[in-house]
Amino acid sequence: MASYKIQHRTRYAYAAPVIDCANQLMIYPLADERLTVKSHVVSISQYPDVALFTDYFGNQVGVFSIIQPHSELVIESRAEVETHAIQFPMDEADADTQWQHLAGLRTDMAFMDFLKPAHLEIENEIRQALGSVLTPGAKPLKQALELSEYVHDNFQYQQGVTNIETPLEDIWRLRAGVCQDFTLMLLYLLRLTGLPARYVSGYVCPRDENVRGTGATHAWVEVYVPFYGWLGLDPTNNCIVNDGHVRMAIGRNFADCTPVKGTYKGTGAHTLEVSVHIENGQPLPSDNLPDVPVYVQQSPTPIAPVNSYRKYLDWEQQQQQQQQ
Amino acid sequence: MLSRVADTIYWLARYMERTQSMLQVIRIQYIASQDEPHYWGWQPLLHTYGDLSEKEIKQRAPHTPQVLYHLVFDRQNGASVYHNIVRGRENARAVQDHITKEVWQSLNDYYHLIRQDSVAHQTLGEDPVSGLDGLIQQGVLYVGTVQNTMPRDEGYIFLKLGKFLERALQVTDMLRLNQHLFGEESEHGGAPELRYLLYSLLGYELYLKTYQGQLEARSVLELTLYNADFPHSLLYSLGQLLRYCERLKDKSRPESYEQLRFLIGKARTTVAYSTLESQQGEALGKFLAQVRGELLEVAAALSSSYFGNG
Amino acid sequence: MYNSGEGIEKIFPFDIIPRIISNTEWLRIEAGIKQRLKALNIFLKDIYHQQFIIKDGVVPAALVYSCPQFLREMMNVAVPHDVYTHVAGVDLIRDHDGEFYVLEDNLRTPSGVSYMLENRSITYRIFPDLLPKSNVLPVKDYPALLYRNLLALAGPQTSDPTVVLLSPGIYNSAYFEHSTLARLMGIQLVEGRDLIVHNHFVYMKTTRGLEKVDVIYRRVDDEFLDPLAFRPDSALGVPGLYWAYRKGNVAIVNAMGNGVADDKAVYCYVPDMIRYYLNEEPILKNVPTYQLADNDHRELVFSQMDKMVIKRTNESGGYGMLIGSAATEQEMDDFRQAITADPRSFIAQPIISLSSTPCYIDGKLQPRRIDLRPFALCGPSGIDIVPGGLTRVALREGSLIVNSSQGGGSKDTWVLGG
Repeated sequence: MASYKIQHRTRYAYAAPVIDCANQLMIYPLADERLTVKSHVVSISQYPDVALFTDYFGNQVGVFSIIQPHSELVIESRAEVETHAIQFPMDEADADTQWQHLAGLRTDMAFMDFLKPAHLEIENEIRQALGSVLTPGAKPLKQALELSEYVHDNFQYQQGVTNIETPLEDIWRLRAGVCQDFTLMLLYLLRLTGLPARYVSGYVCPRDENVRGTGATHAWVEVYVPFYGWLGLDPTNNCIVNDGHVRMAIGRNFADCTPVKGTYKGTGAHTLEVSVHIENGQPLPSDNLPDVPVYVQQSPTPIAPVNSYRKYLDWEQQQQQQQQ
Repeated sequence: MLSRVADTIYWLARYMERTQSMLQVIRIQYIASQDEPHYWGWQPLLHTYGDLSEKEIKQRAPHTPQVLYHLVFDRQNGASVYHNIVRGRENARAVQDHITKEVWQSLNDYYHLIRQDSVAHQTLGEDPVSGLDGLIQQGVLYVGTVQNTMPRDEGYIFLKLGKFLERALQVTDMLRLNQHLFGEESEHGGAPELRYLLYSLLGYELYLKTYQGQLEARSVLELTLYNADFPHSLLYSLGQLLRYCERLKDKSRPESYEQLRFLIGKARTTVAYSTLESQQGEALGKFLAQVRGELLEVAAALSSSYFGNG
Repeated sequence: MYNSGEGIEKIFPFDIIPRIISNTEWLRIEAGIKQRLKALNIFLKDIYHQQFIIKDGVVPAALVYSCPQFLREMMNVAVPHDVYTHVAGVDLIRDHDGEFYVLEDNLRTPSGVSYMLENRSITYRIFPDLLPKSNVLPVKDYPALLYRNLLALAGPQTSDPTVVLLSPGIYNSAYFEHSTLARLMGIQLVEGRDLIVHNHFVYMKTTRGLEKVDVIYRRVDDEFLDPLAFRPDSALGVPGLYWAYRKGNVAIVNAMGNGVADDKAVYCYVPDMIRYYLNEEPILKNVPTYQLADNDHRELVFSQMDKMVIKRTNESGGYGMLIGSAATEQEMDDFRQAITADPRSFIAQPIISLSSTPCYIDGKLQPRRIDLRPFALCGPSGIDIVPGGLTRVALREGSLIVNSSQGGGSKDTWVLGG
């Protein structure tokens, strides 16, 4: 068991005041038998009204808008949580039984979304590479661990070579990235192997200096182990998720779990600072480099004052609308 | 009325007024370049309405057809007459449901006219004045069509606001460009540029009727700034802005209306209560800069309070 | 087609000879469509809530979950009056046995109703007196009925609700229709940029400030509706609209997520839906359809491709279609490849000899193939179907494609009174 105080701060600064800002937050720690949320407060500059919803995957989503001109938006989330150690899977059933169970899940609605791998051109190339990684006939848990270790050992943890939109094929070729890329890779490999896997966004708490991803929001994978349930695997830190991780959202991919997402209307660029600060009693040096880029984009509307000179994209999008 | 529609109509008017103003200036400058023994050159216009580097300006300025091409027909020049007409037409197309068919037609015709090879050919070749006149005429046709066919609704108000704001800005800028004509030294007046300035504003005949005798800088300034009967004078434009703004009173949020009325009133007061005597040398420059600033404040207020741009 | 640069509205050629439907025939069509839409609305509610039809094994889960228009965002979301499709167009064709068959359902953004209205007004002008003498039932009530239904969707606390029509804009091929309908209903035509969501309510940006919007009749596709919740690059939507809808602060017509019910593979199950939900036999039959995700069906279709029409399950407007009898070997091969790569996205139907009717072309009467799209309005008080609808004509000789975007035309449709 461990207690953590988490401070997650997101700050947007705009070169010129912006308006009509709509935002979606998925920064609410997921309480369950492994996580007790003792307190959680979200404060936002300009004090907008935040409506809370529960989405399809059971995540809490906060939605708010700020329409008046503003040059800065700061979202602060402070949580006090208690994590509990997990029970490791007993993994007693034999391999065949387990694999059959997984095959049966293909028609189970609760698992369908987590079994389908993305469509990649390089699928065969990847399958071949996995030939020497996976122990043939091994139980699902073992193969999952092999895949997680494979990603950790063969991909280099490096910031700045990828971004939110880097496709899987590029990550595969680059063999480098940050926790989001490691997670996407492992997600794909697990699903390719027939294992249900889901994306998790959250925080990883600093146990020692070698833990990666503590300064920002973190991402990892949960794989479904037959007759046990969902088990978290962190390929960035090559470990099984235990009481050192705090979950915020789960889903099929990053888009389902984006911690902070928003649109606004304005002319200037924005700068973004994200910091996550986690204490378990001793204050730690803060590290302000964001690992997982927080998703904000400019609402693609025409920039004042040139108003109705339509951009080609506008025209094209309108053309694309299906009128049945 | 939807903010976007009002915004679009307002800009339609601004582009069309700008087009007319530019064409008239270019036409007069061309005549000057032919008539005046010591023609002062195309550089000022190329600076104001062009999109060229200093080097390019130097290269092209001596070649009139090249200048005319760049200012009127050059599709690569975002400030050219061509582009203003294109934008005007685009705006009209976007709000076709809010203007009359005839107005849309006149703009569509204008667009097709400037794209005609024969027009460019004539303007850049044998008869630039007639070529430009043909374009100017189409612009006058647009104005007449608006007057004749548009219902006097909220859209009409924004058309007028756009038109007169643009006109006021154009006059202010023109005077700033020609500030040197009104300096203390030029009391003895008669500089040929003054005549062309009047022609550009369609004010030469009125000048002659009002001030018999030789062209004097002070009188030209007086006409251009203050003459309430002169449709291109600064005071006239501001008066029209105020008049149309007042029509918005029961169509707006009170605070939006109050602010707009205040800002237009302020600009108008700046001009109405200034005196000719004080417009000497540097003071004129400062005065014009102030007026310009106040006009832009009016534009900003329209943009944020009426057109939904925060 | 769409890419003709400057052109916005395409002219949709009109054939002056009306297509006539007897009263008894119409009563059957009307009953059949009402039955079908009732079942489809129940299906949508079911699929987004308890999913009984899947649990009872009538519709396979994989089919539903693999449909890109099946929106997880609509799961367990309460929809006003449980009506998901408020404006529907059901396409019918007549086969050589003289019976009407349902070719496809359109439950998302069906278009063409403005042509129905326009065609009738043309007929009034060129054949004065003929309509009343022939006892033709009127179609002019459509806008009023639609408006009444839209108003009924505003929350009970709202007096004098504001209804708007959300259009992608002037470059969309159906813009003429958006503009016409807005005008006939007396409502504001808006684009995404005109609306903002603030504190979970939707507002229109006007010169008089923000005006609250209560009901949105939207002709923008689901994925473009809200760049915050769906496609982030959409310039046509309103950020935050989805959450405002979930809060119940605005009604959206048609509801989001209907694409799962007019998916051409799900179409095969509509007769089963009618039996399952309504315990009735379908009045209107489906055209026989092969789901190419099924191995046996796929083999059969591959071997008889020249007698088949192959369609993508999620496309409309006649695109992405192969007509076997008119296709080259190369085209058929391309389709075979595409189908093998992604069989779920295709269905095949045997080529039906669509009925034809006389048309006045080049000064002579000539037969051309037609279909029929009646327009149904589903509201809290029931389903109304305007008598007639749009008859689309495949103007090219021998062609079977009637869609406006590919050389189709239309006729006035007369339903005779009883």
